Amino acid sequence: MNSNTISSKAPLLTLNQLAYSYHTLSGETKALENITFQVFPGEFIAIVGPSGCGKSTLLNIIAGQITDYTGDLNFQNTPLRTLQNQSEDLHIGYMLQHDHLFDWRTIYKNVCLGLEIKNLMTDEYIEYALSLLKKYGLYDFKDKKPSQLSGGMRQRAALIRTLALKPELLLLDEPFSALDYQTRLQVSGDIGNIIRENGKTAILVTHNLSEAISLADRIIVLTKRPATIKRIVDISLTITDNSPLGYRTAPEFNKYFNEIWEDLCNES
Amino acid sequence: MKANTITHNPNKKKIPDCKSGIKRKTESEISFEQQKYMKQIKLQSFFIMLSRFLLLFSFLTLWEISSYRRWIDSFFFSSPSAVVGLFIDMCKDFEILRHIGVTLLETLVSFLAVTLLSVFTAILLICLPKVSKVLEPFLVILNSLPKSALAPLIIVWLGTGMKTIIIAGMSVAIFGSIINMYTGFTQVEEEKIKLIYTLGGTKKDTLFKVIIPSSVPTIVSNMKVNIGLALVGVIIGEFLAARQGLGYLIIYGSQIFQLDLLIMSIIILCIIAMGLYQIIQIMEKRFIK
Repeated sequence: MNSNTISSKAPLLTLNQLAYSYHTLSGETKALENITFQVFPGEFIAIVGPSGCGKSTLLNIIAGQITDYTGDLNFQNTPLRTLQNQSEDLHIGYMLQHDHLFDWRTIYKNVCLGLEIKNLMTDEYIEYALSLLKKYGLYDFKDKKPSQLSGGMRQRAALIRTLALKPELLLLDEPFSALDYQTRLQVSGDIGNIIRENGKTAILVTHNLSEAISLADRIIVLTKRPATIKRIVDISLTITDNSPLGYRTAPEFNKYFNEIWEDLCNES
Repeated sequence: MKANTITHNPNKKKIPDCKSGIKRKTESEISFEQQKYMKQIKLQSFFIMLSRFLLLFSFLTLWEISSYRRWIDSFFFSSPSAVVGLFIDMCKDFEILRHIGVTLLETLVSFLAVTLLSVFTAILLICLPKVSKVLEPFLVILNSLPKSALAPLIIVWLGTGMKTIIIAGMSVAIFGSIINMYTGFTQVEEEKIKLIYTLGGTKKDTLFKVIIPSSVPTIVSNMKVNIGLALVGVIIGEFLAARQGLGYLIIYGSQIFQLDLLIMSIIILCIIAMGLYQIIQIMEKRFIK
């Protein structure tokens, strides 16, 4: 995605001077401070930072799970709070660290969980969910229980569960960290491709730099707590094939890696 | 159970895969070592069953012989033949069946009531976290109380009769059951509940899509405890305030020194307890795979 086409569109998500503090009995902890950035349609953003810096908190805020932040958070040019107060459907999908497929439901039933909750079990949405299952090689497993699937397949099923609701924005909170290395490489590639193929906008939180560089158009580097934005790095890789390894063998890969690595080292 | 299905599946899959030409090889697809292993497991379980049967059989034989030879006083210790004889006698006028029926009915009603009431209460508690915080110490105290102490009170309040016995049965199981169910509900993974919220769900969705379905194993294991406790409560109730039922027979037998009657009732109780537990276990296998 090159930056010219991006800036010509209206941003999907705008954060302006966003800040957030936790409250516990032992006192107040500042988690986020002065977070300002924009996400444009079709973009893939990665957020990296020292562990415990508040990356996941930021994602929770964007997802509408945490509401007592200060500053502005606009989704499609409307404040997120307004959208929530009008109890409008947020077209934001969230993928968690573990797949959390329910053992008592079949894969098909798991994929339809969001549709059931939002009362969207219409032919159109079911058709779409089934087409996703077909496209990503899970159709034959739709009547199986999650325990009968491999880790990679489960993660794909979890992504389809999120995509079935046709979200405008996808939030991914370390979605590969529970997988072993080999599966992780494969699945991160798969999921990156699925997201791009479907033209989705995504924000990925990760502590894995290679993953961030190989998947993202832009990487937001956060400082340690209270997290502020240290740097935003535009990524453009000259690649020959779009496999997970293809990205990692691009000539620019190491340059980006070292740059961001140093940023993070200075932080911790 | 799980290990079994894993070891069986590969073989089952292989058989239809075989081409017709090598069909005769199907049998030998299960390797010699696997056959040996399976044979060993089968032999072991047979040996265990046999030992159980022999243990019971030799106990009954020893009991019969020692009372026949007057090594023990059959007035106090009865004997298997006397017990069986009495049972057949009491079957003739359906007397014993009436007592068994009453005890079974009371137990089942109080078991069902306890199970439904405790699941319902636990759902209420999980929906009202502040209320459950307030009630917690009271529930714990009620649960650690020896519940049999409540039975005389219940009898004074409610008089004698089936209703009293059923409530006595419930009083033994209910508090523990509520606590267990509530604890089970609270132990549902936080992230699974978060998932529901991220999919746009409400509190109601977390209850019906996650908390209840994921607690089915807890509910069933709780039922196993409840059925035993309900039987205990019913027997205590019958000791104190009944004119029928196995608990009444035990007390009556002890009062008129007819120990055949007392021991027979205890043996029937054993069989009932075993049967009820088995029924729930069968249900468990049906519903939880």
